[in-house]
Amino acid sequence: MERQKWVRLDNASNIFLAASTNSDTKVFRLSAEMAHAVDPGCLQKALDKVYDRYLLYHSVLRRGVFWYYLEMSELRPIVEEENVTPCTALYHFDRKELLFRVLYRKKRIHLEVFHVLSDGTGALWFFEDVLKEYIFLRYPEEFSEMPQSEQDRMEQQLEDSFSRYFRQQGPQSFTEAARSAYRSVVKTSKRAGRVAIHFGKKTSRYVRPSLKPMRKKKRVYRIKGEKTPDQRPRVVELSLPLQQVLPLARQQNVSLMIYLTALFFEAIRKTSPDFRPNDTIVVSVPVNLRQFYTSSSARNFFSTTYLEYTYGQTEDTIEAICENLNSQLKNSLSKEKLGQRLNKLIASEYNPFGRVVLRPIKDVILKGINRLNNRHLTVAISNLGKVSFPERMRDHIQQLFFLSSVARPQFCMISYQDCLTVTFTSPFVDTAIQQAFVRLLSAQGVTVTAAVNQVTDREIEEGRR
Amino acid sequence: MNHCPYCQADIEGNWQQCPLCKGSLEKRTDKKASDPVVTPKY
Repeated sequence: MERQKWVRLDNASNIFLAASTNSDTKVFRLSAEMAHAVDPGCLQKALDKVYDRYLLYHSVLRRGVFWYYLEMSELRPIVEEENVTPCTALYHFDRKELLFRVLYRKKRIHLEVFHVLSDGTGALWFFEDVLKEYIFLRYPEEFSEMPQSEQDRMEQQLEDSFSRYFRQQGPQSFTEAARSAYRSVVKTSKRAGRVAIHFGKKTSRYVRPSLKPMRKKKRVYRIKGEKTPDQRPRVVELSLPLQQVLPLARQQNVSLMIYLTALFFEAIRKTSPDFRPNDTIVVSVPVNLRQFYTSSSARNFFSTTYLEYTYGQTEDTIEAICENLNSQLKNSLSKEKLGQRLNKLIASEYNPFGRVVLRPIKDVILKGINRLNNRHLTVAISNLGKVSFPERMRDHIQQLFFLSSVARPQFCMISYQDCLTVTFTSPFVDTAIQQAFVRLLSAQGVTVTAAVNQVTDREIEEGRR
Repeated sequence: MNHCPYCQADIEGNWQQCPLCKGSLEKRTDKKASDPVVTPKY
């Protein structure tokens, strides 16, 4: 009997479709800067090998009358030289195309993924495996001449992300790989009977607007500006030595992410002429639920938490902002709060309303919800944490990067070896906020290296000279 | 690689002026300047 080759798109991922626009395509990019120029032939071979193992990545997105669904396709990905702006749309309703692309240029390899398919962590597993396979194929002599003991150790280290996360369950079918992570968690917890997750009626009390009512009383600051002419994002890539930035966060007794968020808030306040003394800045922060719940899914499995700071309530120092944001984050990561959020996501997944309402109507409703959410949001951040590779491979990868298409200024952070990369993306031409952020860091003695893309006609013209 | 004295940052790429503050850039003469740089082509 032929196995099912399609999976209904989970409700949580539907929001990405409803919220995607020409400028905010809901595509994110992971990049690696290699030690040498990329060999496209090796990259293609590496991609082919890894692609065969990741059935989820074989998906194409289709539209039905009632819902969107992921369908397994026979398409094969082809690596291409980068010649489009970053995070160009991957989904077009009238085309059958894969929901990711692999690009290269000079020393860089990029993986771009439509958020409907996977989240940053899920995509990182795939990307890590492509890079490992590429290094193996590109430098075979280095690995064949290794002593046996080292080869064994290497093999241990190289147990790829795929097997690390999926081995317990054996080879996955397409439907298993593409199933919603929230459904998988329910299935696992029901079977194991150890994680108490309530869904259905019990969770209806959690299904309510995610924004706190008290937020209405505050004036949430929203950044405005001149948009880039062709809707490409303004990208500001900052490379920072981890050993210089980490102590600054430690001084404040907070994580790197909280420290940099506090600097981001200060940069916004300092550079926004229409910022009022009592304005509130709100940031959305995705929380990787795999840290807290057992899940082997590479699909979206995160929950978004909102952190805010209202100016003028106390002395608005970096210390005070850090302390405030840190306590909010700690509270939102409590077992109870996390459970509530997960239940809400699961409830939305099992909500019968999502099944019976016509897809175009759901699209309109979700677009409305997204617009409402955006009205109470200033900026966004995303943190993929520290990535490591086996010792022998480290010399071949110099730096990692992570960025996302955006509706509002955002930064994404990722670190590798001693380098922290913070990449700002913004729909606006102006770079005053990013500049203030750099100044705040360099004033603390941090060595900052910035790479900025050209977005205006004048800048592009100057860049050609 | 250039350096922006106002931002106190090294600036990669083919910029005539600092893309962050629009100020003048100083040519870097240290080792880094000769390194091949991958400027983001976006």
